[in-house]
Amino acid sequence: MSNCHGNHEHGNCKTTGLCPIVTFPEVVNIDEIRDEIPEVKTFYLSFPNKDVEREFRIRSGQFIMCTVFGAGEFAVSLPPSPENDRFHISVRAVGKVTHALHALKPGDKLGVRGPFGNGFPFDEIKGKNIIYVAGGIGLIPLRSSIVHALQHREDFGRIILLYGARSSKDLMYQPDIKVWQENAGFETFITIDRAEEGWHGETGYVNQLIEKAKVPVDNSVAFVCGPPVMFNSVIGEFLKRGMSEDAIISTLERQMKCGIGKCQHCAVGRTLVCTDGPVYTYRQIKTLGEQI
Amino acid sequence: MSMYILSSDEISQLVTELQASYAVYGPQVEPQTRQVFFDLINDATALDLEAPIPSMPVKEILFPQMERILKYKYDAETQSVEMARQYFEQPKVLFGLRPCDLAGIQALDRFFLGQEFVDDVYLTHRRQCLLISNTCLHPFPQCFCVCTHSGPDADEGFDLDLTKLADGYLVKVGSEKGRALADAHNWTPAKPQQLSEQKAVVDKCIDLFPDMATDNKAWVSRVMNRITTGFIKSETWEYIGDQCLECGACSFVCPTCSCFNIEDAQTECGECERLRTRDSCSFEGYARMAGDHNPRQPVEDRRNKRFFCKLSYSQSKKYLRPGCVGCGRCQWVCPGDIGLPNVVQYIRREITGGEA
Amino acid sequence: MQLMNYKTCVCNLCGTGCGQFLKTDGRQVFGVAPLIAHPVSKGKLCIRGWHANELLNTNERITQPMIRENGQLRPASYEEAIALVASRMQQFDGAKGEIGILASARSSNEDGYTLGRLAHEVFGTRLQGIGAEAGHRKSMASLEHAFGYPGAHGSLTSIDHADYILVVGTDITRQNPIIGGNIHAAQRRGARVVTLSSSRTQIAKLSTKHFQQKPGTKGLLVNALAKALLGIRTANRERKANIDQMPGYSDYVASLRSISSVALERASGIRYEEIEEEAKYLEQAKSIVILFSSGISGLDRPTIDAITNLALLTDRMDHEHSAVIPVAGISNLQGSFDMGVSGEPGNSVFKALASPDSAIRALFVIDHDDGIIRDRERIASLDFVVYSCAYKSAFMDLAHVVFPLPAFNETDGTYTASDRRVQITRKNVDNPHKVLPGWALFQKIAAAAGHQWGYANAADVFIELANNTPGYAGLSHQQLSQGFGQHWNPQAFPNSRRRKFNAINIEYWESPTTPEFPFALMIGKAQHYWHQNNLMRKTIVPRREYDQTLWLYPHGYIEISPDDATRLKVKDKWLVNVRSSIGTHMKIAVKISPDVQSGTAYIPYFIKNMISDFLLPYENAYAAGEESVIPIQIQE
Repeated sequence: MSNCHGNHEHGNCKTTGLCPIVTFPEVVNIDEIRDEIPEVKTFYLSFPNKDVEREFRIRSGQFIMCTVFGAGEFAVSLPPSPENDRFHISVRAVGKVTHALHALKPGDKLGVRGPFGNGFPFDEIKGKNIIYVAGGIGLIPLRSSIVHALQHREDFGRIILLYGARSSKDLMYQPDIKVWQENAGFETFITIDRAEEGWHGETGYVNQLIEKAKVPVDNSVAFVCGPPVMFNSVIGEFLKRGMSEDAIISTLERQMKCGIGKCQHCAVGRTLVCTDGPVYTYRQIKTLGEQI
Repeated sequence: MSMYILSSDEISQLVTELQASYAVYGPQVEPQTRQVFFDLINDATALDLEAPIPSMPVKEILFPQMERILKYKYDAETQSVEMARQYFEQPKVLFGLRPCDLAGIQALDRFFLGQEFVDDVYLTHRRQCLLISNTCLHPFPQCFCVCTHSGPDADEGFDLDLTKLADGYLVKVGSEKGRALADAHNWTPAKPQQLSEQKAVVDKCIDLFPDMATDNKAWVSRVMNRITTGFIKSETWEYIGDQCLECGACSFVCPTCSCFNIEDAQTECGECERLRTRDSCSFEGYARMAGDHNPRQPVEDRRNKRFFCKLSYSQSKKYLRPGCVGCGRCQWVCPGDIGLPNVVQYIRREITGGEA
Repeated sequence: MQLMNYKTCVCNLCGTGCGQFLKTDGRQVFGVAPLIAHPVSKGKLCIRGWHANELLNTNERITQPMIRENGQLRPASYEEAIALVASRMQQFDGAKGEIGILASARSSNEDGYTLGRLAHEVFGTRLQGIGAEAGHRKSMASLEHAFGYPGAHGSLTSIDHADYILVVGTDITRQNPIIGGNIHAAQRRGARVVTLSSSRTQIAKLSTKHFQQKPGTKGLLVNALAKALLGIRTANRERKANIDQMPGYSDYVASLRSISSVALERASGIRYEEIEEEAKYLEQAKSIVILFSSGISGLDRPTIDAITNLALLTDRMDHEHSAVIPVAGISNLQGSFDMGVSGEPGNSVFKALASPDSAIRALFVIDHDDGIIRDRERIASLDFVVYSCAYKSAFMDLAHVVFPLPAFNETDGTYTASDRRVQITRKNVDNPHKVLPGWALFQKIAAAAGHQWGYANAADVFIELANNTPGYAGLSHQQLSQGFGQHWNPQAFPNSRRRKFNAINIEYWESPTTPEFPFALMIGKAQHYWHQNNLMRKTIVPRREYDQTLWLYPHGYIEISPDDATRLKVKDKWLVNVRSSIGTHMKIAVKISPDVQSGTAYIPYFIKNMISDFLLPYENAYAAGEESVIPIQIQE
């Protein structure tokens, strides 16, 4: 079922020789569902067809098209690491389809196409410091890269996470965060907007953590994901400190219907987020010629 | 290139013969309204090769307005799903394509089949498809293919190409498939003067284009330059946006517009079907994301997107030609006044500061 | 010879009556194509028309008769359901007002006519009404007084030729986009297009001249324009017309003369000199078209009277390209009036449902496609409710018996557009469930009650209705199939040559706003005009477009000017408290729009709670449609 009709022009075929699932959704089983934060659940998935499972290789920063049978299909970024990690997605209930997803139980089936998209650069950033900056559910697309980078800790300089959410209840992946905070090779800074009882960490917005973390600018890359307001203030802060526009990397989200560059719903200026993106440098984003 | 000369009868015989193994589509005139459609041919005599440009583009057949691509049934009880594909291959002949529509199919081919991924639905409709083009002997109202390099005659992409001459149809072979078809017949080879006659026919047709169309030729490329570089005043886009009634018609009749929407709909019997329907970037909901962020809200931004798609170098790279094929249908169907030739005029007016 | 896949059809999704082709194999509809030769739409369609295939493909159809049993609807045969309806209806006394008929402005003339027969002959009731008719009766009454017959004067095709086009109120590029497009084309070819609208609508932007008057003063402005025209007339002896012979002239002129330019400017915000300038253009025009919205979002009677009077005063109404057209939002609103199923003033089904002590006990409803069902509780408490429709709707929950109907392309039927153009849509798809057309269903119910009608097909019904409906004589299905329909003939009305001025009163509308409630709140103005329309909810792309507004403003919005937003210190999408002078309240997001005047505010029709909780308590506000003005305060 997974064929790309021999073009093999896309990243997956080129790098792994393995084609993504292009046209027909492949059935996956929901093994487990976890409540993450209000309105967000994490679904752990597996392919009943083990041949497909073997060939299903992802890269950090990619996404899949997920069918909720009876409701429709939606695009969702992949949080698992490409290596030794459970296949899962984390989804906020915002529309008809994602609400239908939230109503499902373990054992229910979903359809999956993909993985699609360019993914985060990995080889190119070896030897550099990595600064992850996330706001709220912006941690979802970054998780894959974080786990992957920690799995290859020796390849990088400092690895820093600056993560902010509205309140302690809105912090994603809390079990992961606990593990990360104990990892000596990973500098984590977590903040919530306003002080609350029982919270002993930072308060305030994420951009204020940049100073706190004494973020290195030279030989560094920053991965930034979060709501537009946060995005703009963080970028501003980095640029002020002299970080290059090429070293700031983010993912764009757009409405998607096909995932393979045909329906054109995700066109931004001259690029298609599904095939050219979703990962862009800030320099690219700036020149796309449309609102982010 | 091999060339033959066929009588009208031989053309008719060819149609009848092809009908035995293909679904044959061609231009026909609806008797009550005199409107031309490129539709399935039942009776070979209904084919009208001299009919004006069809009112709807031929993409209708390869990229229908609405189609079911998938059917599935989810059983919540047993937590299992059955899926079935809903689009199928059918050998077909598109007989008597106007060169603009042929150019449109080429653009769609390059877009749907030639990019990173292949679109399986389009490929399935496009496979086993014989393309027979037909030179325009005179322009129809609002035609401007001379500006977009897509007419009045076809120079590539066809299997066979027809031109009506004084004593029959000149038939050019353009592909292996066309070659095979010619080899299977005992057609009369064309004489060299008949090729000159064809050139004369085409030249005469070009002369018949209204001044506006030929005059615009140079302007189309200047406008493309402007649109690519983004040097167009926002007032011009606003002027265009104010006239947009957001009907989507321009996208539906454009031979190269390929945007679509996908929606899963429940059927009566608990099944669900995945519908693929054409979409238009002029709609407000087109780029909307779940949540509440719409990166392209004002109508002028959405118009801007469409004309960027038709008239920019970066988009042309995907089609290996301009996104506009000069058929003029958008001008017919627009309830505002922002068909593509007019948009060229508006931008031209901006460049010249209101003159000419 | 016919084409394999393309069949002509009349779009059924608004009152313009555009021509379209459906792409169909006779079983399903795959697409839509425009119909270039159609005299009104000329190969153009709006978003609704272009997506008719989505509606006609919906799976949300009613497919068989159903009967409510133990609270649930269960499938039933036609025989059983028809017998039940006939016997139950006999238990009520129509003459005493126990049976109400709620007709649809989307039904064909054949269905409307036979429904009328069923009501009058079989059920013996005159308690009736058409969904969305409210404003149209006023338009009909005013036009009948002025021109001698209840219908549009002139044709929509006049827009393509007229010198002068006046658009009063309506946001026509949204409501009837193809008419809006034709007006825009007229403006480009050099016609003078003038729009009278308190907000800067798209047609206002595309007009030669836009009078952005204060709310509630459209009628006053039209009258002022008449006064200015009269002034030119008096001075210009050559152009002295004999309209002064028409009844009502002297009273009309006397009223016009009483208009004070100072009071006019204070009330409307428009200077009389500006209107005098405009009158010069009007005086020079040889052909004049006036368009206004009719139906649920229509104008009030004094404003319509001002319009018909102005039309007569121009003395250009005999020109072949002059027209006065009440533009309907629903396909067969005009035809439904012609078929005689509208409510009579003071005795409509709406009134019966709204009055707690009325005698009504049973209701027979066709195709109620508004998502908002007024007087829902009263309907739920009735003894017997019958509902017939092609599509599933919330009204089914209230019905004891439900009948399916065919979609508009699944049966032969005629429809009368806003300008009296009667057009036929031929059946081009077989209903897969073999459901009966409306007229055949009504005939069977009548037969079960002992009335034999003897129609073999829709053409038979038409022959009879043409004989019994003024203006329709001489029309037939066969004749309507040639070309693109025909306007019904006004000369069938005995008074059609006797024109009369309506009596007017010059009132300087005092805004009901006060320092405490400083905003004039009006209804209307949304991106798409199908409100709670049940049909558009069943499409894909139009529904998405409609929902678009809800995505951006999930709780609805109130539109205010940028200046007012600055004063109130609010930003776009902020929630504000809106309180009306009678104490109703809602919390709603702000939408800042440069098209809105300071001191005014707009809410779109479509927000359900807004209408039920906020507007309906205002006795007349909902019915007054576009003209209703509610004083409110807005607080952060």
